[in-house]
Amino acid sequence: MDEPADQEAQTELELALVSKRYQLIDRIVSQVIRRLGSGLTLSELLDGILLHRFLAIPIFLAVMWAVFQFAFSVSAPFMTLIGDFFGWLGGMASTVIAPAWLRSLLADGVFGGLGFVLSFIPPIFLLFIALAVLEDSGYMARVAFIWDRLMTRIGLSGRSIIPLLLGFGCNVPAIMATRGIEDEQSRLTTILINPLMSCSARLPAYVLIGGAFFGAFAGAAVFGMYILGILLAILVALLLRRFVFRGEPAPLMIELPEYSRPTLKNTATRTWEEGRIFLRKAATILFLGALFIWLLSTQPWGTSPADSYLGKLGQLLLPLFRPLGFPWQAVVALFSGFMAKEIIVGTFGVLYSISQEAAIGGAIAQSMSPVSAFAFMAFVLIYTPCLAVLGAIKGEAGWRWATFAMGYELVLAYLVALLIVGVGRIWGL
Amino acid sequence: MRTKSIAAYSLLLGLIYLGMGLAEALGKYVGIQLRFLPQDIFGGFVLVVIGGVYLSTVRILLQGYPEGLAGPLVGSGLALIFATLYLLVMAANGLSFVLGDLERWEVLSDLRPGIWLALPSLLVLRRARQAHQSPR
Repeated sequence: MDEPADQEAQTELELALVSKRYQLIDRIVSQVIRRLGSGLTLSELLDGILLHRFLAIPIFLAVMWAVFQFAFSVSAPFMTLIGDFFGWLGGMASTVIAPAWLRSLLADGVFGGLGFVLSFIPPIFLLFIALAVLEDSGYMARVAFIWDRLMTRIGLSGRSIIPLLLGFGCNVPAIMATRGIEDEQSRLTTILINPLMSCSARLPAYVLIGGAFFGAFAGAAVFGMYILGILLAILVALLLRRFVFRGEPAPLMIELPEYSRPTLKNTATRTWEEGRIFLRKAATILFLGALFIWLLSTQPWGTSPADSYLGKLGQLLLPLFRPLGFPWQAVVALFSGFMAKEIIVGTFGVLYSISQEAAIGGAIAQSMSPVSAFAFMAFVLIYTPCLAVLGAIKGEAGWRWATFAMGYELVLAYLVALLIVGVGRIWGL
Repeated sequence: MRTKSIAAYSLLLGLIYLGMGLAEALGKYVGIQLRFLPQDIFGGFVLVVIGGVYLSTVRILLQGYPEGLAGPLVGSGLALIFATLYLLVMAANGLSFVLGDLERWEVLSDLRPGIWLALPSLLVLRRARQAHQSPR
């Protein structure tokens, strides 16, 4: 027997085994349990709607919108409080410390850069709280099931949805989670589209730009980035399966847990497990990154950020980004984001020498149009993954595919941003 | 009999949610401007989805099938989740006003339909749960 036919027979056998197993379970349950009330369990009832052919995806979109509203709108005053605190610390440092370089280092480098990054703790933790509640309730497993039909249509395995969902948290463990996908073609496709799933590291940049330009619609703009990422992932997956990785994906077999009420302990544990990754990064790579950016933005000593090494780098690369309407500060922020995407906001903080999110948003709003700002958000979503993700792709798929991912995402980011700016101009925005 | 009364409630709530959702999402384009109705496409979409969930099982409920309880149960659950979310956003806006981030803040303008429509949804949820748990 040839290999695809053999695989198909194996799948059919597994499906038949699962089906028989559940028939047996149902027979035993009907003999030993007498159900009161409607005769259906609560999970069976809820699944009638939450897995409904037409309602399931609109409900999923509504739930995800709620998640981002919760993370963005509810966290706003707490971000202000953290920003104000670091602004106050920077002000204290400016008045107490005499040497100009040390004053600048503490006020602009440490309190300006790191303080700005730390102000994004509230939306990140609120996002993880919401995702933990969905996971604990049993809804996340349904999400995999809901999307399976679409996954198969775009040439991915139903198992691909788990790494793709994990990608919303961090792409590194998500790419490692593709090891569970048996079909190699589906696995490689899932790895290559995974960075398009908007990880939490990109959230601070969205929140900053969204808040500065889109006011009451900031939550919708941020939500739009997640939808754009999903749509692009679908498009890229279709292209990859059509031209690079040919063949049929394997079907999804998943056991749906009963719905349950999330517990405070589980939610807190999950939130902490995910959130501490951000805190660890903030204390190490983001802190060092902020100091590095401060150093480059103040040297040669005494010059303005525009005349510093960093400013010169931004101006050198600016012609490439002029069609997109990005200022040099945004170009530098994108460049520093190669290291880790969270550094993007820290870079803005250092370049504008401000630690309050609202004040930096105001400064950025002076230098970019709303359409370019939206294009910038899209660029942040799509362009080259951070170093850690590239390392994970290299580990799972090799250098060849890591280089491919870096290249295609950079080109795709530029094209999508150009398209947004072009459409905006046609509409006179 | 009980499923029929729940069907009537579901039908009424479903139509209200649907109408409010369409007005919230499309009001800007068709010239509907009401004081307590924000112009928000995504917020309107959410109300339309909740309305759709309520309406999806009305026919099955009228026929007396308990499977139809899924509509009011999920619809009311979603209504309560969004009402809680909007109340949290309202509290956050109040805090932002106190901190000086917002120049103006009117409590009444934050009282979206998603909040006050949750009150009748709560009653439907209670009835649907009782119907689900009581013997046939």
